[in-house]
Amino acid sequence: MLVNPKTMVVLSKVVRMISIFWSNFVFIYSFAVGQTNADLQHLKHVAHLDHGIRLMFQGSIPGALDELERSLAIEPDHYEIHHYLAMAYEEGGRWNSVILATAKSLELKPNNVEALYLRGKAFFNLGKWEEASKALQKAIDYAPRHARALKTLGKTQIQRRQFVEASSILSKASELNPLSTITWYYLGMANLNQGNYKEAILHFEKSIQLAPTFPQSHHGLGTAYLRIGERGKGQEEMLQFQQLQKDATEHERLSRLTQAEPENIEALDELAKLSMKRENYPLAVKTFQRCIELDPRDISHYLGLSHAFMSLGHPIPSKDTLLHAIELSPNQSILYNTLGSAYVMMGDISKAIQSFQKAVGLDPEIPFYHLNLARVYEKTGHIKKAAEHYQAYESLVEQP
Amino acid sequence: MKKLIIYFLSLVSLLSTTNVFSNPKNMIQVSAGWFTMGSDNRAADQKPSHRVYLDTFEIGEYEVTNQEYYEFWKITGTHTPENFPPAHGVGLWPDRALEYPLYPVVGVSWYDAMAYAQWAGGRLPTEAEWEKAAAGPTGRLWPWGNALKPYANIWNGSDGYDDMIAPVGHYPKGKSYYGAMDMAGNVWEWTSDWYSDVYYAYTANKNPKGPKVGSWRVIRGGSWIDNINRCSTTFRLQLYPISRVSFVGFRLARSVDSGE
Repeated sequence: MLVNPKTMVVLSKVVRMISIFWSNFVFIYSFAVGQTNADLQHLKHVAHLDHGIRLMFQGSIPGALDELERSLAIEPDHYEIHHYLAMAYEEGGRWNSVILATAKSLELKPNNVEALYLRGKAFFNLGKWEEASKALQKAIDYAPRHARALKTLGKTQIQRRQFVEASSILSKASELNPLSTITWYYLGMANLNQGNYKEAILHFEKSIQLAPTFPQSHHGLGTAYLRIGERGKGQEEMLQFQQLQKDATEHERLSRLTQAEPENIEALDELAKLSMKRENYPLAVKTFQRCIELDPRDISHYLGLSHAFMSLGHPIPSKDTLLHAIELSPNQSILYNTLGSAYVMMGDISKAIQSFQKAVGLDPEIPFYHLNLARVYEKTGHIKKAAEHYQAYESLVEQP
Repeated sequence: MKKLIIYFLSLVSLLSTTNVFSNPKNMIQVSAGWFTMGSDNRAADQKPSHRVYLDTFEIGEYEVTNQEYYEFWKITGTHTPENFPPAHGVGLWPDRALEYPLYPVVGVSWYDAMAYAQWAGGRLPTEAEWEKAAAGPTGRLWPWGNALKPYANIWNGSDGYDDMIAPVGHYPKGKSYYGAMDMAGNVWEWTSDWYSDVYYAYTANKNPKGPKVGSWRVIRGGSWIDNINRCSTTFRLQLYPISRVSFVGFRLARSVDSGE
C-alpha cells in the first residue's frame, strides 16, 4: 500500500507529539509517586545489602555477615539475600548457619538450585550424609549438569559406602568438569573401594597430572599399587605423600601466622617460596607483592615475583618486575639471567641474548648462564658462539 | 470511540517501550575471528582456556551512563534504578542522574539492563563478546596490556577516585585493543550469559551464548571495590539477576550481520 509522503510526515509528527506527552506524563507521575513513597527503611535495607555484597566480594566475611543480617532484619522476604548470607556463612565454615539460611531461601524459592547445592554441601560437611544426599539429588533433578552437586553427591555416596553409585555419579561429574582434581581423586577412591585397582590407578594418575602437589592422590595411588603387588611404586608414592603432607602443614602454619601478623616479612617470604614449591602461583604472586610493599629494596622478592609470573605464563609482568629490580640494583647477574628467560618466553630473542650476555659478563663463573646463552645462540643459528658457551658451561660444571 | 482510544493508547505504549527513534551511540566494531577465552593459570572457573570464534559485533565504547538510562526511564516509567544513600556517583534516583550524568548507571538489575538494551536497539554482550572486546585478539591480561599500570578505577588505586565510582572514559590509557573504555574496574558489567563454573569445559566454540539454565548471571570487569587481579579480562563473577547493587552497571552490544 502506498502512503502519501505528506500524510506520513503529519502522522509521524502526531505520533511524536503523543509520545512526548506520554513520556512526560509517565515521568511526572513516577517522580511524584517516588517522592511520596520514599521509604527510609527500604533505603537502609538497600544500603546494608549493597555494603554486605561488596564486603563479601572483597572477602571481608564478618563484615558482610553483619550487613546482610541487618538488611534481612528490615526486609526478610528476599530469597537471594538469604542465599548471599548462606554463601557468607559458607566462607566462614559456619555450616549450621548455612543450613538455616538456605532453608529460608528455599522456603521463598524452592527450586533455587544453588541454595540446594549449598545446603547439601553444608550437610556433607556436618557428616549428615542422608540429608546431604537428598538436597544434592534435588539440585541435580533441577540441573542435571551441575558438576559441583554431582561431585559432592559422589563424595557423599562414598561416605555412605555406595561405591557403585558413587562411581557412576563421579564419572558424570568428571565428564562435565575434566579439570577437577578432587573429582578424579574421589573417582579413584570409589574404584579402590570396589577393588577396581587398575581403574583406580588411572583416576589417581589423572588427579596427580592436574595437581601434582595434592597429597591424597599420591596416597590413593600408593595404596592401589601396593594392593596389586607393585611394592616399589607403592612406596615411592607413599613417600611423596608424606613429603607433601609436611609441606601442607607448613603452609597452613605460615598462612595462619601471616594472617595474625600481616607485616611479618620473614613469614611472608617463606610462605611465598613454599607457594612456589607447591605450584600455587597466584598465591605466590600475591605474597611476593606484599613482601615488596613491606620491603621495596629487597631484590629477592622481585626475583620471586618474576618467577611466579613466568610460572603463570605471564612473561610481560615478569619482565617489568625485573626491569624495576635492575633499576634498584643494576649489578645483580641473576636479574639479567631471569630477564633473558622472560624475553625468551616473549619471543624477543635479540633482547634475550643481550640479557644473558650481561649476566655472563657480570658473573662468568656461573655455568647455567653460559648454558642459557648457548641455547639462544643455537636457536638463532650462531652455532660457533653456541659451541663456545656450551664448552664454557661444561668446563665449569666439571670443576670440583 | 472507546476501542479507538484503547488502540491509540496501546500504540503509544508500544512506541514508548521500544525506542524506534534511537540508535545506540558510541559503538565500536569488533571484527569476526578467533580468540583465546579463559586462562589455564587462574581460578578454576576460567579453565580451560579455549579458542572461540565470534562473528563481527559491536560493543559500547562506554558503559551506559546515568544520562542515557534517564532518557529510557523518563519515557517508559519503569525499571527504576535502586536508591542508595547519597555518596559520590550514587544516591537517589533520579537526582543522581542529573547530578552525575556521565557516570555509569548502577543499581540496575539484569532485567533492567535487558529492558534498556532492547529499548535502545541493542542487547547485552555475551560473556565471550565481552572478553574478546576487553582482551583483544592477543589475550591481554588487562584491557591495556599485560603490565600492571594505574589505568583503571580499582580499590586503593590512588587516582583521585578512591572509594567511589568515576565518570565513564576517565582512564583513556586503559582502553582495550578495540578502543572500549573502562573494561577493567569502575563498575562490574552484566553480560547476557547464565553463570556455570564448568561451562568452559563443554562450551560451543562458535558464538557461544552461555549455559541454557542457571541461577546467576555473569558479571565481568571488576569495579572500584576490587583489586587489580579481579579486574583482569578473564576474571568471572556471578550475581543473582534480580540484584540491584551500587557497583554493577552494563554496556550495550549489537550484532552486525543480523542488523539488530
